[in-house]
Amino acid sequence: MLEWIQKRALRVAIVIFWVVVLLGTLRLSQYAYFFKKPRTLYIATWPLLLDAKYLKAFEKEAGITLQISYFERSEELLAKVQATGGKGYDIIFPSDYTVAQLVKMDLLKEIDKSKLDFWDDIDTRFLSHYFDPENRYSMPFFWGVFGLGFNKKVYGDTPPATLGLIFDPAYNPEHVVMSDNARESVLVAAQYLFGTVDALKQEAAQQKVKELLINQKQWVDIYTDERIDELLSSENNPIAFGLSTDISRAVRENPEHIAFMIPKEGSFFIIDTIALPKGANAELAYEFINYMYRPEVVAHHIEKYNMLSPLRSTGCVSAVCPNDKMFNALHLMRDVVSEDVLNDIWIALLAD
Amino acid sequence: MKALHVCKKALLPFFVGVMYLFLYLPIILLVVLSFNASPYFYAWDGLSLQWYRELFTSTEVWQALQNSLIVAFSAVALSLLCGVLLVFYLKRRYLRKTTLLFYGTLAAPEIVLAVGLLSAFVYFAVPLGLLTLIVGHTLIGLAYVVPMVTSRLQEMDDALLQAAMDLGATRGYALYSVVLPYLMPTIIGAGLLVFIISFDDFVIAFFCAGASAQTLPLYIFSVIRSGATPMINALSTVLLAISSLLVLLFSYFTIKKGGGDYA
Amino acid sequence: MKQSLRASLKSEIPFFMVVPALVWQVLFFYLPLFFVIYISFTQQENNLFSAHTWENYATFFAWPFARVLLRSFSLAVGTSIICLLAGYPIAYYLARRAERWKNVLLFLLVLPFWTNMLVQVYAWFALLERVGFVNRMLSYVGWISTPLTLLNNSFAIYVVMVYYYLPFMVIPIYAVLEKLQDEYLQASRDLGATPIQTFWRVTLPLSMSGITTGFFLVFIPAFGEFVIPGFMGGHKYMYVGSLISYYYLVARNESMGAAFTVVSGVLLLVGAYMLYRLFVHFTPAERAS
Repeated sequence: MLEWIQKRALRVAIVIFWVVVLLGTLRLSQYAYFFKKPRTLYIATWPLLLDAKYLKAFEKEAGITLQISYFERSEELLAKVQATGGKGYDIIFPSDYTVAQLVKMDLLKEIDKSKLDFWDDIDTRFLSHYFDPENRYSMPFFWGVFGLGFNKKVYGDTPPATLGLIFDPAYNPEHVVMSDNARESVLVAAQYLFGTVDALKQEAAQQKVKELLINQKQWVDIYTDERIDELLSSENNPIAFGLSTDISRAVRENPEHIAFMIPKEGSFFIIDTIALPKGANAELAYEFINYMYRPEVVAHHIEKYNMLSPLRSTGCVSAVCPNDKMFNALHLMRDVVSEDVLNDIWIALLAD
Repeated sequence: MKALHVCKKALLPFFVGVMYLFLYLPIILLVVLSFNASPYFYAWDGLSLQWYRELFTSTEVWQALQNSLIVAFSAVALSLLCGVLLVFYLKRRYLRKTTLLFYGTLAAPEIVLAVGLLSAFVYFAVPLGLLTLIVGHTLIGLAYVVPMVTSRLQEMDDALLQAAMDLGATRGYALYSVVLPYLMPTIIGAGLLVFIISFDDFVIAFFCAGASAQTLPLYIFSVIRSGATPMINALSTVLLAISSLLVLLFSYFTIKKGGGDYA
Repeated sequence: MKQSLRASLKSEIPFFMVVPALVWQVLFFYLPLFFVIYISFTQQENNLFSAHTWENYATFFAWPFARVLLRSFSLAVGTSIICLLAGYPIAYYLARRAERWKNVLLFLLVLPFWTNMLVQVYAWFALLERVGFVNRMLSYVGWISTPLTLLNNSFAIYVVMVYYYLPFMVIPIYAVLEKLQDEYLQASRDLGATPIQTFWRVTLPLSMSGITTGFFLVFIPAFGEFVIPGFMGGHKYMYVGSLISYYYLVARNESMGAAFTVVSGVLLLVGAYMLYRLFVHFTPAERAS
């Protein structure tokens, strides 16, 4: 009898032993944060944003190691920062609406503007927006305009600057490249239909937007946010909705045939910012940020990646620059409806 | 009549040839494109080794490769160790039923595994990183190791073990000097399989890798979605060359050793 | 007392060795499975879970979700069938006809596994786009005047699905055909059967176990596949995998994601079981050897 109990107890002990070993080893890794390599920065950024050559130059100059990971969607960044409770990264590059979400979730650290030597050079048009009214948490790093990239061979040199080119059957849309982002597509559709995104607050309007997008699907080749430049410059697709950053790359690759237009119904611009998550190593981060805003570094990135810089000293150097009048007609993409509505529309669109 | 007969005979090899061409078309293309001076696939600008140069000077690729290798080797080691120990030491009559427990991992779509692992890690407050990735890959590894080694063990003639013990060996010694060598080909095969699966895995890494655990598939995923980088083609060509070499070396050595089957 | 403790410890060594794998499986597969099922019954509001409800499941009784499930199911079945039709001849050739080339061909069959799947997908872009390799070749030899749309549609999806899963079908069938004893085929021929009859009534039934294994090695993962259909279909269609990934990564609604995972999992089990019964029906009963 005693032996039987002893045997059972021993077996239970063995099981507990292994469970503790497994889980213990895993949990121990969180203490690796204390053994984080000294002078290392963990950065989460978009691909095709930071030139590796300049990053290496920074590493050499400042003696800081950079660990970069990438994300394609803002939601991905959001999920990653949430999952690590703001401790996984030192520097992140969220888009404007993502900053609003991060602030709401209290995952960002306040920035000390006195540590940044470029602040006064920032064009005030890019500061004090709804997502961060006092810019306590984010600083604009680059911005872009949404518009249509088109092939002059198919649409002529100056086609009507309207979103109807991709939404209206009267224009015979074909092989369209559309955005893969629910927010972008829905807001653009609303802008096209109603001239303002606020109309989306009505359910009837949401229904109309859903129908418009579902109807558009028959002309759509691909829903994507990437590869737009290649699809346009290879002349595989005659028209694409996307960000000026990508489309101007296509224009540069194939200047005879590809051009960019901002539709007359109004369009959107997006500000991509740099922000510090709650657990960031601020001191090292400021060193990196100051480096990235240096005029020659900014100039190089503009040249290589076609982004638009919010700095006054560089100004807007690109074929796709909107003039002042156009700029005033641009809006930021705000969350006028809940994510649930966006997701519903998007799922209904893609499920069929 | 003879011509028809020849045609009939040639049909099957022809079909197989066409299928192999189908299988290799993309691979041949990407090897060729890795030498293309132009970064775009639709334009050929002449031969160039610049992408290989870019590849060998890219720290991110090496970091990602390093992570992938660490995870793969660890997953192979752990799953082989735990799996073989399980099969070795479990009483025969429980073996069949216990193996069934491990089929679940293969039956579930990888995304379910990834999602489940993520929930478990969150529940146990485990930070995501290389370790959690290793755990996930070992889980999949076990699902291959256990059934494969079990079926090989069941093919073995029990008399061998009995004979060893009759000749004076202890059970432990008999296990290690008779059973283990018999299982070795399967163990190596399973190990290779788990290695490839872990090295190439994307879905689990996508969900369960942390900030610093950028593996090669994740890196390729992020780079490739942003446009043409033939550097990835160069990377693939290099990996292809290395793995062909490894497999050739491996088969050369196993054939030289004479097959290794006791049957 | 100490003596018997030592003896007990020694006798429990096997148990000690066996437990790690089992603990691993329970901790990281069965427990998560339980979590997923549990979460599917909760509602999520900004990271706070609440209530026990069937509501999540109720949402799925709408057409879009049925469509997604149907799409994944038909993709899985379609891919498996095409792989079977294309893969069986290859396996047959490797097992019974290719003498000297057998090892080389087997090696070549497995080699693509060593190339990253995404890179291969990207290579297919280069092949199938309107300005891609295939179209250029076809128009160069003058067979077409305008480029064919070979990408971002079902054609591209099936091509690359079959491309990826073919080896999974070929290898199990090959393994079974290889072990097939020549005597059976000899006997069949001696009894007067034509090659076709021999194949249909002897070889095929005897290779059924390989066919079944191959079929499910393709069917099960293909059901959850979303990366290949996503890229090849221009991200225009949602599959089970894409929807689950959307819930978890974009919508960040784990409850719905879990619920849909459970629904699709159940459907997969039911569907797979029915198909399995079908295969068993066609498998000849084991003869006592």
